[in-house]
Amino acid sequence: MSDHLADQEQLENLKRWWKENGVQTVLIVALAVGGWFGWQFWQETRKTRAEQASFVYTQLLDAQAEDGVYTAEERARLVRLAVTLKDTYSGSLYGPYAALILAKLAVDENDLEGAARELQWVLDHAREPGLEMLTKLRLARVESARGHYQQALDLLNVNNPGALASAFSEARGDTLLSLGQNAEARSAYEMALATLPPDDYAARSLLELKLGHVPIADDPAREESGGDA
Amino acid sequence: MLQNFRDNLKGITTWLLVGIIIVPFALFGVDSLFLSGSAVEEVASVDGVGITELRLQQAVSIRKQQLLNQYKNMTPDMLDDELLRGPVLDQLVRQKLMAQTAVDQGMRASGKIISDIILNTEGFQTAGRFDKDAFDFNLRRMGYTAKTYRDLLSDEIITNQFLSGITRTGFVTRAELDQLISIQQQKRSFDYLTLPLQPLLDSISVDEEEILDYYQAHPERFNEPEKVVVEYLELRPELFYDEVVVDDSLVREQYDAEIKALKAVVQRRVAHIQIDADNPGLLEEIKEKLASGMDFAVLAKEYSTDLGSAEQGGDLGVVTPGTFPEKFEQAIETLAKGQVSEPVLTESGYHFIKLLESSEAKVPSFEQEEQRIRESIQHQLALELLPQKVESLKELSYNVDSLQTTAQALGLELEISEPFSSSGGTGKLSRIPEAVRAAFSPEVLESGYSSDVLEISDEFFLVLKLKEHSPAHRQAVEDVRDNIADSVRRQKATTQLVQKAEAIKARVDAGEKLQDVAEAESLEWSTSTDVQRFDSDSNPELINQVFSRPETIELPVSGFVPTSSGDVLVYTLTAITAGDPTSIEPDQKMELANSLSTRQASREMQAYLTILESSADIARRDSKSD
Repeated sequence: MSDHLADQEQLENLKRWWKENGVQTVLIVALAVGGWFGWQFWQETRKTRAEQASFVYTQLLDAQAEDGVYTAEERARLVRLAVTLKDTYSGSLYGPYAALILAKLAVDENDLEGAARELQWVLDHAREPGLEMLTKLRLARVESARGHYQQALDLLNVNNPGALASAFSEARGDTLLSLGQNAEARSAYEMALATLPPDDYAARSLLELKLGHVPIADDPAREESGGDA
Repeated sequence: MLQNFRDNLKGITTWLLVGIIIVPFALFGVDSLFLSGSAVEEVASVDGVGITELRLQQAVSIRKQQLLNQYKNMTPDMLDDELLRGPVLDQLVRQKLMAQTAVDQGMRASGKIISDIILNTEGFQTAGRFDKDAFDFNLRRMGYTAKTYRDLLSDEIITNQFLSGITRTGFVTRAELDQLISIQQQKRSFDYLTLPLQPLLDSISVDEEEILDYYQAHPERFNEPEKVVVEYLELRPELFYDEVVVDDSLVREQYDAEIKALKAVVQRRVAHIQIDADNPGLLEEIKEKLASGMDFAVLAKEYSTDLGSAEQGGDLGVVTPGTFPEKFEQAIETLAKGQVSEPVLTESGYHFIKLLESSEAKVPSFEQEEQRIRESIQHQLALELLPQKVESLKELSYNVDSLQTTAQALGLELEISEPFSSSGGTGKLSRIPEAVRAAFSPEVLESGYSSDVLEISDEFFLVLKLKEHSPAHRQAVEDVRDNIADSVRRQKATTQLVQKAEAIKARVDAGEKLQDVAEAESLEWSTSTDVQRFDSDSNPELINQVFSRPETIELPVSGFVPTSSGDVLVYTLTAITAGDPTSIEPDQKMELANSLSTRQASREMQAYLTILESSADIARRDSKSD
């Protein structure tokens, strides 16, 4: 009997509690469930979008000719795919990567202005510091080739290019040489040699060639004295 | 009713409990429960994401297989897993780093492409179609589940995409290209004279003290590695030629078969005149007309009852053996080109046959071929004896004091190798990797047993046993005296040549012409005009030296270079002509641009990866690879 009463009481309590908190509880549960599904949905959408971008990027790579020779259709396809990636998926790495492919295409076609535009786009959209550094280097080389030497030097003037230090110095050397600032160019090349990874023999011999190529006109003291062995 | 409520409650609790168990299954897969202990232990982590021992072991075994495929001489026991762990782990860390950076930046592998890869993997196919059983079997064999395998592929795709963005977008601007071409295509002209080593060598004496000094100063040069001499027995079919009897009839049979095959490829073009069998009177008439020199084709048109060929002058085209009645074909075989046969009677009537053309292969006579055929049969028969010989060799070489006994029992000749080390040596045996490996195996080298019978090829077996063993040691000075004397003599000569070169250079620098100095000293000299950096005709050591002078140096300038042949060359660089970027072919230029772009890109990629590594949180816990 008392058992029954206790049960009765509990039931009453429960009803009262429900009256006071029922709406809130339902709302919280609804929100939680809704939020969970929403999160899932968002995740799924994001994943789907990324996978789509990945698929388009694969096609873009396939469209890229290894020897850089394109028919008009091939070239159009390449550009179309790259532009799709840039327009639709600029938030992921696929957008900037597509722009880098377009930049290469432009340089190969000697369209330096177009190349500079694409590289600038990468700088505006890339979020990865290493990639940004690399793109600055590429843009600087393009600006230097366009005759925009000061822009090139400004781009190359970064704080800590890390493992790209040698490549940065080399580009600075090339630019300074074009400006006729031979002594500065020489020291830039020397810096490039000094910061080169020791096992990069190909780059080393190239740099040494460039260094030997710098006119000594404004530095006659550097006359080499001969005797080898 | 409340009982009911309680029941429900119980139901919910049960459900919750079940849920607690199910969730990890659903989220982490069955693997997480069964892989335990060291397999799931992390050996490294990249920004908090671990690389498990299992993954490392899988990668090591894959790398091992790659190495074995690449270097055919390697055996699995030569590759120590422990040695591979370090480099493989580095590679895994790099991969993980790239994959993670890529995923952070929104890169994913498309599920469709992963499925495509799996469906098109040869190992997962039977008869050219994807086979689920083969897939499951191979995955289990490699230690993957379907999920971990898909994850692996996904990582690989993402990593490749991540790399491609840098490696496939490298470029070289026209300005850079032109600068390089003008350097690379640069031409230099120079004169040079040769100070030869040889004549000087004979005039130089070396005394005992110098030899001892050299011996002391170069301890490493006279270290002799551990070497062995082995006795060995070879089994080759040629050794049993005298044990086989070649039946003459076999030789004849083989000859006939070869000739038949040879004739089958002989092509004959024939023409014929066909006469009905009931009209033999015509035969004489045609015979006469042929004898009087009338044209066969004209006669065929007039007389032949084979209307199909008559119009073509009886031409039947190229005859394939087996097309015509046997008698007809036999007649053809006896004909020489241009010759007409006697009438041949077949079911269709009489035929006059003329051989128009024949690509007659020369049929060799039996006598010409007999020797060769006999030898080839002999070889074949001897080869058949080989398995049985190998068996006896195995039995008789096992546990013997000397292979001499075995040799006598089998009628073989015991051979003795020249001394060789584990990296080879002179003599034919040391050029057989299997034999060298066996000679230095513990069974042979330490225990002194005969080796197993080694199968070098289908027709070549070998067994060997240690005969002499000399441990690694330093050669005594007496044994290397001549050798040292040569080295010292060469050294002294080179020093003298360099002094002489310096003197000549000084004279040239003071204004004398190189040619004049050469003439005065009766030395050989020569002039090279407009040589390019990569010119293969000239001495590369001289070219390197000449091109190492800065192009901005004041000309003429002289120097010298001791070459590897021992001669010393003295040169005067007289002219430098800048390369002309427009002088090279456009496609050559494009090729150069492509290769420079690739190189630039790979350099950028390396640097980029280093930058990523320096900013990532990488921890290695693999004590074995440290």
